[in-house]
Amino acid sequence: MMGFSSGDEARSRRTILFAVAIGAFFTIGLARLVELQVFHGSENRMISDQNRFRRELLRAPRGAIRDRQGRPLVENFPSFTLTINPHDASLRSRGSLSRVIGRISHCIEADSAELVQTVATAQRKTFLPVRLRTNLNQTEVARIEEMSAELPGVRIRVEPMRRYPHGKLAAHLLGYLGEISPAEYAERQHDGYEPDDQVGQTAIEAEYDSLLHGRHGMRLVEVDAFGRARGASSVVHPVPGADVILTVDLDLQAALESALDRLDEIVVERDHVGEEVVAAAVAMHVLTGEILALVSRPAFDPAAFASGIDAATWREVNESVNRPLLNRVTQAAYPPGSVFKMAVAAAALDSGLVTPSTVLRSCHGSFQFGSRAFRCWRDGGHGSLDLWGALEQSCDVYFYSLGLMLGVDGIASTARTLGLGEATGVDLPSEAAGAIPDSLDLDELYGEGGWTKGAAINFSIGQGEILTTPIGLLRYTAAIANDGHLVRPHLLRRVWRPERVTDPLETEERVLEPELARHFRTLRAMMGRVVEGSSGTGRRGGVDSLHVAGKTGTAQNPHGEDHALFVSFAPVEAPEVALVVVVEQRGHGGTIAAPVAHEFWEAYKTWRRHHEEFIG
Amino acid sequence: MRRRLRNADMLLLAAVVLLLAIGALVVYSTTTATPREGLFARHLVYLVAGFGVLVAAAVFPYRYLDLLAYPLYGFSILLLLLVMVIGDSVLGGQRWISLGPVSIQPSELAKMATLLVLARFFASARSVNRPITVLRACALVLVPMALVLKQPDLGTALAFACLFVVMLHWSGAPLSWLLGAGTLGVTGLLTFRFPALVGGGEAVSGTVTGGSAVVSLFLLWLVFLAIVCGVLLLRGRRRGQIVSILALHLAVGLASPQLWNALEEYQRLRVLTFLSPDRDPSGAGYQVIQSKIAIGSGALFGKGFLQGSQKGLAYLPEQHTDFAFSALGEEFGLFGAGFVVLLFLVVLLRGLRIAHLARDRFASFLAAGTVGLLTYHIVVNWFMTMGFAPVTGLPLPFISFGGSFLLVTMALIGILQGIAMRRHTF
Repeated sequence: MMGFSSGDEARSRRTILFAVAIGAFFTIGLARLVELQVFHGSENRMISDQNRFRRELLRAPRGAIRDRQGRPLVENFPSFTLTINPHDASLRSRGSLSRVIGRISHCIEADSAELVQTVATAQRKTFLPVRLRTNLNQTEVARIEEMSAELPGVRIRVEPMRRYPHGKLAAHLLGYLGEISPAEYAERQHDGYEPDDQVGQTAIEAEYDSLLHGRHGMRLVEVDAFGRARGASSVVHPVPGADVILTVDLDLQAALESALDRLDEIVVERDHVGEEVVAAAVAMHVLTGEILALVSRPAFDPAAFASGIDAATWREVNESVNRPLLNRVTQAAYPPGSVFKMAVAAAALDSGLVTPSTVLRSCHGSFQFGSRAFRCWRDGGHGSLDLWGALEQSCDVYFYSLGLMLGVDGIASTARTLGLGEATGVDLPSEAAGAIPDSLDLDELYGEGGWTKGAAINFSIGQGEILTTPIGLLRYTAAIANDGHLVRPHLLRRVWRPERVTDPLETEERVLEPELARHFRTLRAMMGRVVEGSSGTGRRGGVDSLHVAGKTGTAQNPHGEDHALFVSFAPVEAPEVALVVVVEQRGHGGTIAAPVAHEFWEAYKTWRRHHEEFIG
Repeated sequence: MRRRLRNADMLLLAAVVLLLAIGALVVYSTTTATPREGLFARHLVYLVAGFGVLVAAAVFPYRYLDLLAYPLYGFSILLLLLVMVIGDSVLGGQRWISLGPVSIQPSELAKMATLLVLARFFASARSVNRPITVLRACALVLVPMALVLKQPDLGTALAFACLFVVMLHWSGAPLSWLLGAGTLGVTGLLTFRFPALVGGGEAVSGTVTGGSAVVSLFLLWLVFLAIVCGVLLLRGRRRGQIVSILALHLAVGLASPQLWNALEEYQRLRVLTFLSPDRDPSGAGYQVIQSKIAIGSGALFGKGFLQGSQKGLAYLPEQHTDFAFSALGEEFGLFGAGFVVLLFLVVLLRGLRIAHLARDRFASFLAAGTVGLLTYHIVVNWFMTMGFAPVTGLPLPFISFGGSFLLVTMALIGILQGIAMRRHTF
């Protein structure tokens, strides 16, 4: 063996000293173990068997969601929840749990097998008491209270529950709640979430869940074998969730919703009377991106989710033909139709191919390209027009010519610059992007040479492979109205915590090249003519004493009747608000969508009289 | 090879296997029919992997570890820096790096690397009696220790300190040095709360005990310093030496409040809770109170396997990891827990024997450091469950639910066996 520098004796001493140190620790530890288990063993056994701490969760009330003036869109009200703690000492003996559940099932008129199943499932998920029923009525509460002596481990607690004072109003932007999923719980348990928490599933409730949720508190109560509180309790107070103030205005929201609900009354066309309205409409302040109203149809009732939705209702809502849970403003993409013509006009003006007064080939109702004839929407044709007239009357043939000159890439690059075909970044989950394909995309789609220049003809009137979301069209319209600022549409105005108010959130925007934006003033004037010109297609969108500018669109739909679109802003001379209306499968933009806009602008006219600070 | 196998420490191996078997029972009992169902299967996978690691570490010739020491040390420091930047936050601490499905804890690797580096350093150090040697070793420990403390992981950081003390002792440093280090520790303990008591508001809620506590603590510290001075005078130390030692105490007294300020609020709470557990029966103190009740209620023979009631009441949320010992005490009583403690003692003393009989200095330091690390983890976790140490989040070797810590433990045992197997080969 190799020797150390120190001698054998020294080595033995250091080993012994080390062993003594270990031995000392173990002696102390063993002594403590004996103290706990032998000297205090029976005492500790008693504490463990009888005197226990009951840990009660003090749920933080979820924050309210309010409109821009502070009026509640969603708030809470106290509701009674029935819980059972299957880990309760007095339920530990065989059969006692099912006996207690049997008694409960009488009190609340529920199937006891189903309750047993609920408890069994929840028990594997959480140590907390299990919710048996939410939103108990007074009779049920009274029955349970009467029997409480025979119901160990069973408690009624007051829990805050969601209430929607305006029913289905703004359902798509508020969203709904549901129980946290196991995966989500695993991710968020350290942020103070509990396994049976209600969390936002969609829209604002989901997007700002961490603000609205708050922090649960806890009370520790020492109880005896009968579950009666004795000993002192210690409390960690809950921190209530913050109130979220939206940019939406209740009055404008209601006006826009009502316009869509009264669609059959306000349109002249009678072909589809009585059919379910499938539509999207959204209005936004053009300078800040604050969304003032956002409607999707058909709507759903968020209150149905508040007390736990049953499987049948869920299936009915989720699988309904027109998919009421879909927020069509941000999650549906449509061919924009003629609403797209401003992008084509901007591209043509920007490239110097035309001036506003350039007259192109006269329109006789159709446009021959190779062996194909592309039709104008007006069979008789529009005759000779300049760009002003072509936009006012939405002449397709004029734009076919522009499309051929610009080509697919010329159109696509300007449309993309105007923010179409990409998500806007609105603060709502799962936003769709839409699509503005260029020649490379078409090559990929159809193979090189698999498509013709005719694609540009389709593109020029917003048809073909082009898809846009209503919110994308809104931002695009606003950019024309505000001289080239691609604002970020948003719904959050500020956050109200009990102790402080957070300032309005910073929102980024993209500023377009002045070479392109300098044409927007002309485009605005042209759009003014669409609504107020003698042969404008959007005349039904106008109102008295407020100059509205707009553009109609009628998107061909291979699956049925055309979609009606109308984008607009007002006032033309100093734009404040932009509005997009899309109504599915009802016909022309000018006759179906523009009247909805008319209703909105009427309401806005009144509203802005009381909100001058908004105009400033 | 056969001869090497004959030299393997069979008693150590038997104790480890028994501990792992008991640990598996505890993990099964604390996870079955709970929201943690399914962890047991993962634990079994970790056990199999652990035996693989043990065999690999035993077969690997340890002299190559000597060469690996510094590269591994550098790599682990890099990882610790990396984890500060990209680490996932688990329970308020940045400790993990995710590599696809696997997440690694760089502080575990750093512990092993520091062990190797210190073993190599002390094995080749000419004279440990020179302060410069000690200071250099100290620097080697302080770098990873500071980074781990920053994560923040107080329990693991102190493991580095413990490792250093053990290695210093093993290098033959005089006892008075260790005692000196001990008195510095006492100074740190006495002074660290000054800002909490003086500043009041900036400390943890509910810690303000008033100015009188500061005064009494300060007086206590002065008395302690006077005693140290007295002892030094009695032992005939020179005046200059005494002055520099007092200066050192003063430095620690000024620095320890800074350390306290650097701690996260929940860590301060844990230390304060340790000092007076009834202060916060719903938070950190709550776990300890419930753990003590669980252990105590096991009494002599325990409540029986799977019969523990504390776990089912959400009283001990971490019972399969940090508080595994409380489940052991509850279900198997003093006889079961005492048997496990005995097995731990066998593991540590056999490890010490291997360190004593090792054939070269590097192997000897490596084995001694390994025993030091194992002792630290066992004692700190065990004492924590009995309310004798603050809640630090360290698992109990061999017993707690798997994870990378189990693999590291098995690697340490493998290294010990490797040293034992090669003790007669020249």
